Amino acid sequence: MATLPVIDLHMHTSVSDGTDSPSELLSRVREARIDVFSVTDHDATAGCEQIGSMLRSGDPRFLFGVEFSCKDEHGKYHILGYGYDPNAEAIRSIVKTGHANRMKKLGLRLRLLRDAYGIHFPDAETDALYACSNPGKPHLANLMVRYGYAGSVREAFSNVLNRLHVSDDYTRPEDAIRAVLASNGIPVLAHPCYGDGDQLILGDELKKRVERLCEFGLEGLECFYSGFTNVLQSETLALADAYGLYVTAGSDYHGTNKLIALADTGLSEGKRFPKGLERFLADAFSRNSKPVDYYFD
Amino acid sequence: MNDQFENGILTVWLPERIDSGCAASVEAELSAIRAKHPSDAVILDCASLEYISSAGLRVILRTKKAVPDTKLINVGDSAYDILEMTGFTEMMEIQRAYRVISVDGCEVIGEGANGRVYRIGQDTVVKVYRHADALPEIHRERELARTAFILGVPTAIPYLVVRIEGGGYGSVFELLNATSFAKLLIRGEKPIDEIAEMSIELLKTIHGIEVKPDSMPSMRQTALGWADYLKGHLPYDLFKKLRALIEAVPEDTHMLHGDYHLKNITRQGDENLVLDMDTLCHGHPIFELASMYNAYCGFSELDYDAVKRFLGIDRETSLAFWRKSLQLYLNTADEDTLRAVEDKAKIIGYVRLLRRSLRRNGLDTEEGRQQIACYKAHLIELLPRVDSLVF
Repeated sequence: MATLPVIDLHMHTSVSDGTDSPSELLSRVREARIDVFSVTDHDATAGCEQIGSMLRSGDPRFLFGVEFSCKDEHGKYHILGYGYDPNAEAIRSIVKTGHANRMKKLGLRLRLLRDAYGIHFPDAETDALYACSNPGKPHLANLMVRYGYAGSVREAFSNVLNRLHVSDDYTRPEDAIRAVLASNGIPVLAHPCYGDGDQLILGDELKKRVERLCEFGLEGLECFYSGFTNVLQSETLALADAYGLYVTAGSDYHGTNKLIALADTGLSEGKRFPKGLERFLADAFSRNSKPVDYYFD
Repeated sequence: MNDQFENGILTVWLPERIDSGCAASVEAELSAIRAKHPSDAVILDCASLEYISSAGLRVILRTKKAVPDTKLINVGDSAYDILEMTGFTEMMEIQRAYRVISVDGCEVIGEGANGRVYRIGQDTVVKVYRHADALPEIHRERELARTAFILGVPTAIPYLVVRIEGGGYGSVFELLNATSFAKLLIRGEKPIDEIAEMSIELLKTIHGIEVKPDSMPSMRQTALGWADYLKGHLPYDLFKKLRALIEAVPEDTHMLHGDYHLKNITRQGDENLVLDMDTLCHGHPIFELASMYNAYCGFSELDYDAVKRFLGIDRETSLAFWRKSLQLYLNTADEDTLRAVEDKAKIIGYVRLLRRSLRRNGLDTEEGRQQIACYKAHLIELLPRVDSLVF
């Protein structure tokens, strides 16, 4: 059997909530001998643009990516977008909206921390937060620990941050899916069984969710994921098969923020790729006119 | 989180909740503990864990990937359900937290070699095992009961393992208005012949089932082990003959119960169930008949009250039940045939009883010496005149 490429289509840089800068991440991807990769920062494409400009001959194949945090009356979702045209108006506009929402929430949280809990951070720290592309609760938790307002990140979350209720303007899943499609990209549901990362959605509930998103134009499922057991892989692969969807594989690497190894996707060596994944790689790259047929000799 | 590093095994007590708010810090803390005590085996104790979200599941999964020999213990019902649903129970060892129950004041409805059975509710009984560390035995019996049930043996499968207040473990069964055959006989609710017929019908069902040889022990092998124990306790030529007789019994992959007697058969409505599946094995039916001979005759040979204490019936009834059972099993009333098969069963039966007395330091007591002399005398009388154990 020919050696199959090492793939990781889901990772984050410091542009969102990862700890590696785009250039550090690229170095790690090179060291990890990954053949195909994508960077999927939350609501941000800046990391991809930086990595795109740093690539040189012999580097792993790179696919533009993004991960949108979405919500509607049925729940929360993470929608991945791959192979889009980064200059397309649709993607630029939704990234801008997502960034604005995050900044608005940051402001609200900082105010609540100050008014309700008497928690203040030096201006230099808050300026640095505003300079991040996508600052979130983990950034605030780290600051609370650093300035002695919490003994641990866990304590910061449970005693304070999870109790702050900020009005949230979320991107709706259909808007994210349509923006990716309008930018000539492929929309994929991230870690389908885990919702926005902290839920457990299985069986009929998962099927209905996928059906609903397919109506909006969803084209793929992340069936291979670092946090999935064989049972969860099988359940999502069966759904991908039933609805004719692409299959993707991602680790959700965040650097030192989460202890996930690069390329830990659950795709076993020696196992043949599912057709949906082969089709995904062929189609995602063909949009950039770079065939990858040789991977499947 | 508390931790303990002992004999190369790292145990970490997980907190009450692991969700997206704290998963990262739990994982970081866990990593720091692992770095402090590098270990090839990690036990995550979930006694305090009340809620685990998918972010928590991923922490468990990553720990398992980092240390393949990671297991979860004391997992509560709700967390266990999630772990089962998501396939974690298939990929790693996960031990449920055991509910603690008390059997104080509960009616004892049965007693066997391995434990005592109490009624803890109208429809529920618990079998409390004698050994304090009976968990492997309990799980083995549950697996055997499942295997037997799937193969068509009417039996009750324990649905819950519990801890018993004061020590030990038990298996909980649902038995709706079940009455043991021993009770039916004692109360005179059914005539002895009818009870024997029902008992043998069920036994023949069991003996008609073929099993995979590696799914349960071979009774022939076990009997060879018993015989070997008697080397030096029997005249050498008789020991050799005994071994040759057992060796000559062909391997047989049909199921045997291994401890088939009136207390292990129960009537529930119109159905007869066989219980106590920990002795399930496979082999020639002579081994089953030997075990039945012991239960009804051999065991109480020197102490007639023993059968009263064990089965609740007098020795005369017990002997009559055995004779009727043998007739029904062999489907004959021919005395010569019955006696010939009984002799074969007695050989295996007395080998087992003799070994039992010797193992219990029988030579040190008057009662034990009497038993040993009696069982030996039977073997010395039987072995020269029996040329085959099969029928």
